[in-house]
Amino acid sequence: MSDTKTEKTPLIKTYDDEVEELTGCGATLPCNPTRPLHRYLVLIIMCFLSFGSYFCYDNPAALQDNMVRDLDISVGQFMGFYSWYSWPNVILCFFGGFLIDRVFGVRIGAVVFSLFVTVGQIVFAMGSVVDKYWLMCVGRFIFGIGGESLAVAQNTYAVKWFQGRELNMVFGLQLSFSRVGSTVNMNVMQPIYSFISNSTTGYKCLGITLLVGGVMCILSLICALALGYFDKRADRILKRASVSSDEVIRIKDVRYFGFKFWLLCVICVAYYVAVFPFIGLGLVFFEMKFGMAPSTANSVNSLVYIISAVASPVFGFLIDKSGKNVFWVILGTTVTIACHAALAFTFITPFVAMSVMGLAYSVLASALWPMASMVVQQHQLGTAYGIMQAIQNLGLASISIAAGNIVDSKGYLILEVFFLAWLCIALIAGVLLYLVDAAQGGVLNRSAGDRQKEREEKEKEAIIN
Amino acid sequence: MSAVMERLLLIGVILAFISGTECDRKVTTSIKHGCYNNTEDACGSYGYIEAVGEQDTLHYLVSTLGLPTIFVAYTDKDVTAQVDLDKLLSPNVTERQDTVTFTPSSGVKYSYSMAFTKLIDYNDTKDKADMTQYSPSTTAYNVYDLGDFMWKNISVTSTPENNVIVFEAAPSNNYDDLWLSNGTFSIQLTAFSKSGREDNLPHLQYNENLTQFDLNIDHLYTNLSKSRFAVEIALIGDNAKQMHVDETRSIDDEYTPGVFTIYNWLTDEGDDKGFLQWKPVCYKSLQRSRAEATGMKHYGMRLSTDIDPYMNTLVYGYYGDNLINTMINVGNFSFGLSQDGGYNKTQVLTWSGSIGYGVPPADAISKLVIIIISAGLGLPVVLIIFGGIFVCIKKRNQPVEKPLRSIQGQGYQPLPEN
Repeated sequence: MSDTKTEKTPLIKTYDDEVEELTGCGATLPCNPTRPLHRYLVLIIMCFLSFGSYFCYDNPAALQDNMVRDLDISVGQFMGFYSWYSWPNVILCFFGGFLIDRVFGVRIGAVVFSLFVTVGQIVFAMGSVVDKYWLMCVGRFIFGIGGESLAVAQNTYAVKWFQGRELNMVFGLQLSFSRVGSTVNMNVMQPIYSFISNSTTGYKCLGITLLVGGVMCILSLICALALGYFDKRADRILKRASVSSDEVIRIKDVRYFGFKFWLLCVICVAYYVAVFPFIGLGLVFFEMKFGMAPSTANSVNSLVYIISAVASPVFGFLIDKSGKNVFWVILGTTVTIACHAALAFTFITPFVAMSVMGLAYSVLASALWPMASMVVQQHQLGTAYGIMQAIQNLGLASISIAAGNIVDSKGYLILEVFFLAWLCIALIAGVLLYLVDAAQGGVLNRSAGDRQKEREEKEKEAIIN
Repeated sequence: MSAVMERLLLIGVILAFISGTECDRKVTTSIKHGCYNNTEDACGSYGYIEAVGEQDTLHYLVSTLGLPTIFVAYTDKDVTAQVDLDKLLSPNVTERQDTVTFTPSSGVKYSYSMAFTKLIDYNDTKDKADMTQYSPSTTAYNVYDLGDFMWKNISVTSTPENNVIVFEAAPSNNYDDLWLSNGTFSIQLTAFSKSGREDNLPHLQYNENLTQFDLNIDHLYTNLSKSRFAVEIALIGDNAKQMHVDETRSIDDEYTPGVFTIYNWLTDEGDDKGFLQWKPVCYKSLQRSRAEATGMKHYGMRLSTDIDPYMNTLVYGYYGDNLINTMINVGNFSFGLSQDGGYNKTQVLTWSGSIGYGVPPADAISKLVIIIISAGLGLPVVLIIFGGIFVCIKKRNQPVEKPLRSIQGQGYQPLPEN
């Protein structure tokens, strides 16, 4: 964090002492960057920044049957659309984050990655129009390059605008927006396909449907441009610090991220692999163990997503009020352990376990991601989020494969034990994080009141400077 | 010192546990083939599995005479079994009585039998994999009486040195359609001298008190487009006591992935009883794997007073006309699960179960699971306790009266080495 700033780099930079006079609309409440209302309006744009990529990411799932039929591909080839997205991102979003810090800056970065997303979706759709499977894979690949890095840019923006204020809530809101994006996609793509099939059929119809999905990407691109404008304006008016040349990150600097950051990464990967690969396998598990009908099993399985979409901003807000992020992370992990244990060792209806897991996941996600901004310095933030995202992707991709193999050879009980083991690792990392942090003065687990005081201290310090 | 004691105690417990479960039986299998009055047209064979324990003996008499039948007798150790095969093959009912005997007959403590009675093929037009959805008038049924099947000589199909006996149907004129695609229908029986677990899925647990069966349907012909197969099984008790089916749900599916239920069809309460044990899973390929697994369904059992199907079997040979006084229960077992593609997808079905005497084997959670869980949950707890103590001591040693700003300054310092 910016705690270690030296005299060379004051906390709030003052390039010229003249304060810009805002006139006209610029001075009104919604447009004045010094006012909270302006921040909230920008937040809406920020949420829509990655809406398009989340919307289009799950286009194949929403149109699975149509794709397999119209393109005459196997289910394996269909799954290829997802692996062409995810495997490159195991490392690419790390470079995406680095590029944001080093080359583009967050403003240009967001625009560039939105462009990738849009172009990728269009190539994907054109691949369908001309019925070329390989071209569609290329499209998904380009789309993937943009998608994950765009999420990194979004995180970086969030920290830039909301650090020390409503950051937890903002992360919660972004999380819930990603779920909203997928859900909207799942519900509207099929009707769009049916509507277009009135005029054309087969792969052409599919391609045009995907192009309509691409409109969402263009919306996100517009958001990226708007954000860039507002961010630049706010930088000018608020005289926010811009990165000076001696602060530019080098790849080597990753070494200095500190033990706490790597503990955050461990929690991030160990927790997420115990939730998402499980949801991928949950449907059959609920049918087999609890004797549920496929439709019931499906609604139980989607509980985590639905609940987290609603609860994340709320919990984020509460965590903003209370502070003590490490405590919330430990609590979220512990509760998730209890949920997995209930699923593994009891016959209690999974409605309970999955609902509670949805809540626990919301708490954890809203509390975990903002912490990264407290342990690394501002100019390394993109890289830091890129690393977290990359490690998480790597974990999810490899653990999903491992989990499938475990179910086939050893069954669901062992699978649950496997997930419990991961959660225990997350818990150990959480406890270690608390101990290390407490030993170093408790930056992360500070209460909201203390953070308020700290901000006032900082402001005083800035005035003295 | 106490640690050593503890370890010794632990070893003692393990040894006691091992010796407690150790009660192997010596298992020998033999097969006899014979013909009535030495005429070639009335020939048959039976297999005899004898499992001799320390105090008692289990006799399995198995044959395709009349029906594919397994007759089980639990006796004192030195009791011997005799089968008069020539007479059992006789067309004369009275001659077939008392062809299965034990000497001394007072040494027989319990006996019961299992017979595969029918093979059923129904058209699952609604794809529900549930026979109760249909009556004979609402969908097409092909019902094959296994008593009308021709069977290969079991001395040709079996390997008695491995304690394996195979009943294999031979194509015949009775149901010539069934063999249009050169299919096979077979039931394999395997006896064990000690306890363990089957190598193949569903990895049923076996012990010296039971015999496992594998039912294989391989490319039998069906004229039904949504065909699903089922078998009818009869259990014939020693007496008139009520039978029941126990459903045990388990959290543990490590031996049979995805299957959390085990069924036991028990001929009686208490220890003195026969059982038929199965898991509700069958496979759509002879190379069993989880990807080929599909579900199955049983429909409870119903009382039967019809003894005609058993008049040519070993069962009648033992009970004779007393058969009318024993409990006969019949149950259907249908294979497949809704949306699994039905029989026509692979035209192969294979299903396993075991029949035996006494208390059926029950699954227990393996040590691996317990170790992982206790280590996984124990480690964080230990860490929290010791870490908590560490932090408390540290806080007590240096009271926090520093201003917040100096705390900030410590942001990146490594842990002090004390």
